[in-house]
Amino acid sequence: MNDFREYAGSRRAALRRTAYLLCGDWHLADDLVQDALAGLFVHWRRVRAGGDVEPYVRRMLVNGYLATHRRKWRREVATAELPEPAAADPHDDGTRDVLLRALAGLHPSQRAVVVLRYWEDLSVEQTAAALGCGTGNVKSQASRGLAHLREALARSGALEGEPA
Amino acid sequence: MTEHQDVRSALAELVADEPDLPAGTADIERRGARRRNRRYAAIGALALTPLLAGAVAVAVWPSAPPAQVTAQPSPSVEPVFDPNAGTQLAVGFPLGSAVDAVSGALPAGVALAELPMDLGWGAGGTLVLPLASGGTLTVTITDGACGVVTSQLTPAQATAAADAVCAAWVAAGSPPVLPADPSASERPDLAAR
Repeated sequence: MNDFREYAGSRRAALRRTAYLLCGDWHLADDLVQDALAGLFVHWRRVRAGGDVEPYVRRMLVNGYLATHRRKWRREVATAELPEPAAADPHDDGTRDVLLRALAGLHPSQRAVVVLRYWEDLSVEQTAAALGCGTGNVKSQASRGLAHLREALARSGALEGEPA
Repeated sequence: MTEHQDVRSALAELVADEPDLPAGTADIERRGARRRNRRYAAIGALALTPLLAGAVAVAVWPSAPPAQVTAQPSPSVEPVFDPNAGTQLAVGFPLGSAVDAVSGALPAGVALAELPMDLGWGAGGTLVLPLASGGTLTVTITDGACGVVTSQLTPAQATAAADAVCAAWVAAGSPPVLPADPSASERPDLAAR
């Protein structure tokens, strides 16, 4: 299992960043990556022999993320008292917050399409395979998600030259 | 993807302040090993469940009554067929067989009458049967020879009837016609009971 250790060690950080862009929470991203890699460990020999390790992990990661949205206990719960607000980052000009809100405003599957297409640089076919849907669906979701993000960023002025 | 570089740059900004990674890959391997063990256990349980269910079904299935089990003879003992086992009746040529043989051998117009209740073999192996037309027919079985005597039959008919009786007697195993009385010591003392 040394090869698994080597693979996990080299890919963990990148997978964690993708997971964070999917869920917007570093702790949950750690959970998602650990879950996906633990699942890969179980089927490591078969998946490695098939030569499709990366698509397998990516699909497990996306499935784990979508599953967290299906679980009832993961959903937001209204409370009477607001939690303590995070301290403002002096280096943040607000773009980060705008982008996080814009991503959070996307449907989970739409968000997954945007992240896989424009962060992981996957093709339409690879994205469709990772999500288990058709290429037409990926194209339409990517187009709508991209428009949503650009609109949000343009409103905040983060994208120079983009129409408001 | 140059046309989407703006979005990619914005996404890269989000992960720029990535915190340190938690525990190393050893923790992931332990987690994976636990998951693999659970998977093997689940597969084993799935495979064993039908076997256990079958074993339980066999165990709780109602078995044969104990009396039937104990009544079965031991396979090591050679079974001996004895038609008279369990009875105290003496072995003899059955009256019914003799009557049937005679009745079947009688010619048309000659038939047996209703048999009396006290019908039985007489001394010397004789059996007296009443005829429907009146008179009697006497069957005799002595020393392996059969005879039928009556005034209603011709000698040939009587011989045919005697042959029929003999055939029935031989078919029954040529038993003694008149069973021997039990010895005095074997007779039950009914008065004492």
